[in-house]
This record gives sequence, C-alpha cells and structure tokens, in this order.
Amino acid sequence: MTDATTSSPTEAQRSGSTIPGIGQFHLPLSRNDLLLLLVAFAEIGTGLETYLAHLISGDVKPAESVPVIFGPIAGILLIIALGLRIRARKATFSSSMIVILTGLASVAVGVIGTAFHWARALPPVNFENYGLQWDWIIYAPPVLGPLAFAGIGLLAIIALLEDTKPETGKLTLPGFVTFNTPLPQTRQFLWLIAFGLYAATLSATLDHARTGFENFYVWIPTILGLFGSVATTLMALYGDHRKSDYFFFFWIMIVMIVVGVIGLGLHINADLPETAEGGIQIERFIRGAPPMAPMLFAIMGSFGLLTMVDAPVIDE
Amino acid sequence: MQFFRRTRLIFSTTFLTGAIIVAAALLIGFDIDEEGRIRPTSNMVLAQEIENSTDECVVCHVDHTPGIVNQFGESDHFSNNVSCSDCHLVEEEYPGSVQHQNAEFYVLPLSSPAQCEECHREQVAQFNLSRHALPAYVAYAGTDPLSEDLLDQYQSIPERGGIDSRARNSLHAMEGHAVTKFACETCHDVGKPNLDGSVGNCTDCHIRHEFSLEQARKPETCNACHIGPDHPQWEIYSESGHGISYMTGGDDWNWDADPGTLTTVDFPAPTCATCHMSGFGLSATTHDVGDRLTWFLASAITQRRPAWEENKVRMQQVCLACHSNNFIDEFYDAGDAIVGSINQWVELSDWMVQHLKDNELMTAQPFDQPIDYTYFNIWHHWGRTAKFGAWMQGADYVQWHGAYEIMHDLTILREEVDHMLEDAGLEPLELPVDFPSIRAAREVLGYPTDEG
Repeated sequence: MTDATTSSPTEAQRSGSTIPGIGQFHLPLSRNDLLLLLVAFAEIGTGLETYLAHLISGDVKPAESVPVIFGPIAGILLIIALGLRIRARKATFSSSMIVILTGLASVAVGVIGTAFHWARALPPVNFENYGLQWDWIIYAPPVLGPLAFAGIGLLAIIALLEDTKPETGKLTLPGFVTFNTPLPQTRQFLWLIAFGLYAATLSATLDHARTGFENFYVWIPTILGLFGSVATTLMALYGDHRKSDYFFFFWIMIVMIVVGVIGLGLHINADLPETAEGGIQIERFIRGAPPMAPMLFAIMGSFGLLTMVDAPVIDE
Repeated sequence: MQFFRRTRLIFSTTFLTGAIIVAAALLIGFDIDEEGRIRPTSNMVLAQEIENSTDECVVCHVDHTPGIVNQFGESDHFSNNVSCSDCHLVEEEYPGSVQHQNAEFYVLPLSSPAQCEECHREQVAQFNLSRHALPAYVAYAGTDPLSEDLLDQYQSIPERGGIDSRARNSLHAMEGHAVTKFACETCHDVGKPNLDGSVGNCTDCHIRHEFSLEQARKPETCNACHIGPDHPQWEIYSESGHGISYMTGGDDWNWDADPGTLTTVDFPAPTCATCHMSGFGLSATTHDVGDRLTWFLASAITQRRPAWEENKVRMQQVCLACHSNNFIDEFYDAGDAIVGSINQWVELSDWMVQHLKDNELMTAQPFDQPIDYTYFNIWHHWGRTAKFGAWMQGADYVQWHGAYEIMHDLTILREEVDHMLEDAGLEPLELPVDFPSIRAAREVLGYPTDEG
C-alpha cells in the first residue's frame, strides 16, 4: 500500500477564504477539512449524548454500548486522518481510507440504531388494531436520534471528495476515482444539513411534547428550527446562489447556533436543582432535559456556516 | 424586482415555514387552554384510534381524564373492542350504581368482578375459591359481616380454614378503622364482598386501565402486600436465585407471551405468578393462588392443605421445567422437615403460655401484656418467615429473620413466663439445659429427640 497523492486540500489556508455575502477570512483549514474536523467533534459529542440517553433505562446494554464506544473512536480516527492530511499537505491513501471506513461505519451504526429504535416504537401486539400511536413515537426511543451518526458519517465521506471549481458535481477521491453526481458538492452538503435540521426540529418537538408544551418558549426551537430547515432546503434546491442568498443564510445559521446554545443553557438550568440546598443531581441530567440535544441545532448551524466557505456564487 | 431577487431566500423561507405551521396546526389540531398556553389537543398524545373514537365516554373523558383513557388505549381491552360502558355502565337499580355527572345514565365508578365475569368467568370462579377471596376478608373482619349467601360461599371454600385469625381480628378491632383502613384493609380487601354480591377487586392485581400482562406477571405486583415481617415473600424472593435471575435478566423475558403458552424460553426463571398461577408445563393457568400449595405456612402450627397431594403435583410440574425429580423430591422433603421443626418451636411457646393460662395468669384481653406480643411474634413473624424462607429459598430469612428470632423470643418468653409464675408464688418452668434448641423443644413436647 502506498499513499496516493493528487491535489492539495489545504490550499485555501494559504490564500484566505471567502464566505459569500459576508467577507473574507483567514481560516487555518480548507472548507472540507473544517467540515471533517467538525464531524470528528460531532461524533464524540453524539457518542456522549448517546451514553446519557441510554443511561435512562438504568444501564447501558451491550447493543446500546456500540454507538457509545463508536462515537469517540470515530471522532479520534477522523482527527488522526485529518492530521495525516494536514501533515502531508495533501490527501493520502491512509487518511482517505480512515475517513471512508469511519464514515461508512457511522452510517451503519446510524441505520441499525434507527431500526432498533423504530422496533421499540412499534406496538407490541395487534398493530392493525392499534394503528401507529403518537405517544409511542413521543415516548419511545427517539427514532431519528441514531440517524445523526448516519448524517455526519455521510458528511465526512462527501467532505473527503473534491469538486471542481466552480462546482459541477464531478467529484474526485484523490488518487482513486472521479465520478459524476447530480448535484454540486455544496448543495449535497446543504441537503444533508437540511435533513439534520429537520431531524433536530422534529426531535425537539417530540421531546417537548413530553412536557405537554407547558411553556410557550418550547415552541421556539420548533418554529425557528423549521425556519432554518426550510431555508437550508431552499438553498439546496437553488441551482445558483447569490451573495444575498448567502447573506441571509449566514444569519439564519447564526440563529440556529444561538438556538442551540440557549437551548443548552435552558436544558442545564432545567436540570439544576430548584434550591441551592439540593445540590447537583446527575440523575436529573440523565432523566431530565437532555443537555446536549439542543446542540444539534448549533452543530447543524456550524455545518451550514462552514459549507459557505469558498462556495460558488453568481454575480447579481 | 431586484429587491425580490435579493430577498428570495428570506421571503420564501418565511412563507413556506408559515404554510407548514398552519398545515400542521390544521392536521394535528391546536388549542389554547384555560391558562392561555398553546397546546396540541390532548389527542396528540393519545392513540389515533382513540382520537377518532366516536365512543361517547372516550370523546368526553379524553379531555377530562386523559390519563385513564390513554392507559385504556394501550390495553388489550381496547384492541378487542371492549368499551368503557361494558365495564362501567349499569342500570339505576344496580347495587352501588351512581348517576353520572351531567347525564341520565348510571355507572359503577369501580367495576366489580361481576362485570369482569361477563368475559372472564373461569378466572373469577377460580379466584372465588381461593384464599385471596373471602378468606382474606374474613381474616380481619370475621364472618359476622357476611350475608347468608356469602357465608355459604365462604363455607364452600376448601382452603378457608387452617389459620387461626382470632388474634389478628383482635388487633384489627383494637387499632380502629382510621388506622386499619390504611393498614390491614388495604391488602385484605382483595377479598371484600361488593354491594352486588361479587367478591374482591380484580384491579388490585390487574391495575386499571391498562390491564397489562407484564404488570400482573411481575413480582412487584405481589410485593404490594406480600412484604414486611409477617409475610416477607418479596424480600425472600429478592434473595433467592429465582429473584436474582429476575432482577438481573428479567428485562429480556417475554412478558407478553400468551397465557397458557409459557415456557422456559419465555421465562428462564419464575416470578410469583409463574409458580403459583401461570399456565406452565402441564399445569393449567389458575387464579386460585393456593392451587399448587401443600402447607398452610401462614398458620401458627402449619398443617396440610386440603388436597395437598394434587396441589403438590401441579406445583412440581412447574418445577420440572428446570429441576430434576431428585432435586424436587429432596427439596420437598427438606421443606417438610423444617415445617416440622418450626411447628415444634411454636408448640413449645404454646406449652409455656398454657402454664399461665392454666394458672389464670393471662388476661382475657388480647395484646394488653408484653407477653402477648412476644408470643405472637414467635409464630406470626418469625415462624412464618422461616417457613416461607425455606420454601422460597431465602437463606437469610430462614436463619437471621426466622429461626434465630424464634430462639431469641423463646428465651424472652420463658423469662416472662417465669417472672409471672414467680410473682404468683408458683415454681418456674422446668426446661432442659439446652433450651431453646429444637432438641429441647422436642423433649419438652414429648417427641423423640433423635431428629432422624
């Protein structure tokens, strides 16, 4: 096995990067490398969140420990792969294989996890008589939760590929293969982010349904999340992007990040004791508002921002 | 035009988001509650079938008592088209009926076994023959409150006897209803007669309104009553291999297996229900909890149950799913032997107290002297615990919560008896030097002292 070399993925770090409609920035890495780095952290975070979520049933069963263990390992592998790319200043065979295998494994973990969760959401008997019930979906393990692994796994694989400039959808795995896809790479990222935001929105809505929507502000992630999802979908649908599109998209993604961070604060606040005497109880963090869940909005918003880096734009 | 081109994303997004929210609101339905909160109608968290139900009870109660409607939605009753009115709707003259609020019809707020019996005739009949039925109620209330018909029914229960309830009746009377309502009656009302002549309350074990097989089969359900110093079956089960299997692996057991089809694949180890009630192996499902038992272990002096040999066969059919004939026979022999030993210790306590009675040193009033409690604890707490512990394999309950406590209280009882005899100017008891060993008990009682 020898390392294959073609282009330099870190070229952008020397020439500066542009976020259309916003300005120029000096970023330490190219867009795709930054996306890979964020995927790595997202894998670790998702593993941690999965651990907390699976603790709800009292202990983490063997099958449930797979994503818990996989998340951090995948994150570390992706960081190693990224390190190899940066050190070699080019895509290498070993780094590409690590990303592809990790990404595929992440997709598999996500799909299998979704199947497990979906099976738990189905009624135990007499499906025909019961029909599908809202409360099973609300109170069952979150059906869409494991898809986070699948989404970020796919994102890692796509980020490994290189598109031409301007993007045409002709993707290259440096040193291996070039193939045509129906969508330019930026729009592929946008579709994935849109799905991620829809999942985050639906997840937040179903989670908050457990509270019976006691407070008005639990509708905020539903409404803003839907807004961000629709905006990202439209961006993915547009065949050409103007600076003005990116300008608005930039701020919508900032809103997604703000929603996530504020949600994180509110969830932690909800899990803290009502009086100082109570002391912090870990159990409340496990069984109360999931602290990390709102960060899915922030992660998707960050993915959205990174996707804009050096994205193709038409003159207005 | 340029303006719209530049703002296409924000306008399109706003429009589409609004449209989706409106569509979702129309589809799911939203409501503003009395406190001004925007909420989906309660149907959102209920079964869609219930949401679409035209049943008059469901339509109204889905808003007024959504919890029980939601539970009902998850029940097999619901999926088998059993309606609320099937169990609750009665004629005006039906005993115990009340007129429904703001309506013309009459209901039973708590359905009785007479309603359950419409579909579950066999189960109610088995229950009526069990000690969970009238004997449980008579244990604290006596037979005086029973009507003639109910007294006949009580007399027809083969296992009604076997336990001297005089002392417990006394406690019930002494404590008063304000206390016993939350104490004795909470459990013993499982066999309380209802106004319509039926007995007991099926929902004591089959919690309404889900009536879940899993809930009824799990030992926590029995734990509601079979716990504490007088019958610590829950604690003993927790210590036993069966209980440990349940607690460490029960999550994976097939709790919803169809009744009558259970095998060790579904239940690798038994719960209370598996041994005593479930259809398992060649033993058919029963709601008579004594149907597989050989001894009246709860008695002060334990005696055989009527038809105990047949009961034994039924229980051993369950044991055979996992244990060999040799193991089962040896276990039953050992169980019978410990019952004999505990009986002899309790007989020894009877013998000592009889000295006081013979000399008229005991008052007629129950539980008015410390010695009453010592004497009572020996059989009612420690004797039972040791016997239950042996038959359910809880070593600590046989030893430290059972046999040891009996021996401890026998020495106290002897001291109390001697004091009372001496105070009356009588000679203290003459007992063997190794009192209160079981050998000494046998010697006092005139049994052969070689335990073989």
